[in-house]
Amino acid sequence: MKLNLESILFRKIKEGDYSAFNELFSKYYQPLFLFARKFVEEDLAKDFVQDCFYELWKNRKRIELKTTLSAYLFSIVKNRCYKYFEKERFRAEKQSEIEFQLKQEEINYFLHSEKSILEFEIRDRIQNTLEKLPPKCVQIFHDSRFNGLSNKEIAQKYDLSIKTVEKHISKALKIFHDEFKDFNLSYFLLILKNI
Amino acid sequence: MNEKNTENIDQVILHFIQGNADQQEKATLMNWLNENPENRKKLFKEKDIWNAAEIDSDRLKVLENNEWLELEKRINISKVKQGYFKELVKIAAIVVVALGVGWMSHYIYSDSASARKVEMRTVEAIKGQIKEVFLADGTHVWLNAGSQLSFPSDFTEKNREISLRGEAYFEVTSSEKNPFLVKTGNHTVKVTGTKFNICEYPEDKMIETTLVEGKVKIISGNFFKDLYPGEQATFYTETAEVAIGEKDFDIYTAWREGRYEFRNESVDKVFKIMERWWDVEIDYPKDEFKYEYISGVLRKHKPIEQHFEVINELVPINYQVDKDNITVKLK
Repeated sequence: MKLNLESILFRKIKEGDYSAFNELFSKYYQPLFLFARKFVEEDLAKDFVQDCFYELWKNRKRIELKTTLSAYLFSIVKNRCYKYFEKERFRAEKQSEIEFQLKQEEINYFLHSEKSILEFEIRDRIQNTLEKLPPKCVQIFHDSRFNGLSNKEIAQKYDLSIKTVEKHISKALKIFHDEFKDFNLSYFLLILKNI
Repeated sequence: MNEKNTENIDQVILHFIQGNADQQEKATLMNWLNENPENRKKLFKEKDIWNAAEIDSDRLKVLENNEWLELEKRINISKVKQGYFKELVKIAAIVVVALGVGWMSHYIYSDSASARKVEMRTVEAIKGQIKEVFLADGTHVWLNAGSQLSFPSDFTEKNREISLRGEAYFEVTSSEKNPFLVKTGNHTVKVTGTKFNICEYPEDKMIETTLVEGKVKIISGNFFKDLYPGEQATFYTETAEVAIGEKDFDIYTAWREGRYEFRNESVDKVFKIMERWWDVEIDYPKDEFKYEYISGVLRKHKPIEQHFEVINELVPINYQVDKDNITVKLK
């Protein structure tokens, strides 16, 4: 079902339907941005994702999809990030930085071995999972994730030890983890049902 | 690994995904990653969840909205031809009509009068503007900021000499029989059915002609040279020397879409382009910047400050914005 809807959307875009293009943007902008943001600075991430949509619209008549639209968009952004790292690699000082090595490991992981959950339709599931968290847990998770408070600041706010704060966040993450555990599997099942 | 260490690594992972792991913790993680391939999965999946949980936050909704507006602007600049944005199309149409009528009326007038008076008409893209012009014969011209294009009022098949100051991109429909001549100073480019870019700002002291498609001939005094697609001729106005090189023409034509890509360009030249695009004066010690070369992209729809921030990462600078005057110094 999902595949069909996407191919209709793409056909409309090819025909120059601007509102279909807007719909696509709303659907994938955030996941693509969050994905690129893992690897590069915020400004570059914005550029990569905007370029990706710009090129899609500009070349819409020529583009032939061999995969789903989302796989296509993600592969473009992944490759831009990867190329960026390839270029940076030649800068001697970067090579030795551990931070750079870790990011490189991460991009290789998503390029060669696993998909990011951002590539799936996860919006509703994330909202549902947030609702499932215990009240204290969700407050702390929220402060840390969205309000940008440090663990120390959160500890002061609720009069807890830093360790306790960290335990709450770990707990929230574990619940998320369990929610998304079967994710790859369920994705395959979905495909099988469609066939 | 004992219990204590496991607990410890969980804490390090948490710090890392929250973005506040210190050097030592990062080193610990790197070693831990190399211990077992499964560890990668644990770390990056956890970080992935952390990243994904930000979706639909207020911050991201605002960002999405802003980026959509910027994307629209970008499409807007480049797609005038296709008629997506009615207002801009209207402006282009007015130019076409104005040129057409001007030419027609003159034609009718001069037909009855024996003395033919040729007037020059001028279109100007002031600083901060990029303009698109259609000439009466169908030639399509993009004028970059701070440029002027003059053409005779009786723009006929036989008389198609126009003059340019600044930068323009041409898509010409013409034949060998009725060539199209673009004059910049005493330097002429003879054109037969092509797409090409000419850049000649007097302060640059050079004229660059980049051919995208078709054929052009460079005529400079006694010098003649045919250019082929992908070639660029650079004419140095002070020494009257011409250099021919192969160029990636995308770089030289992307400005029409409000993008200017440059590779290993002098800071001096980049500042000049910024002055024209954002209509500002940049004050900087020329001697100090003489040997600074940078690569990057200018995007016309983005604020100029953002570009200084990027330049600052390549060449450490201090800059101060006072309305349209910007003072830049090396750090």
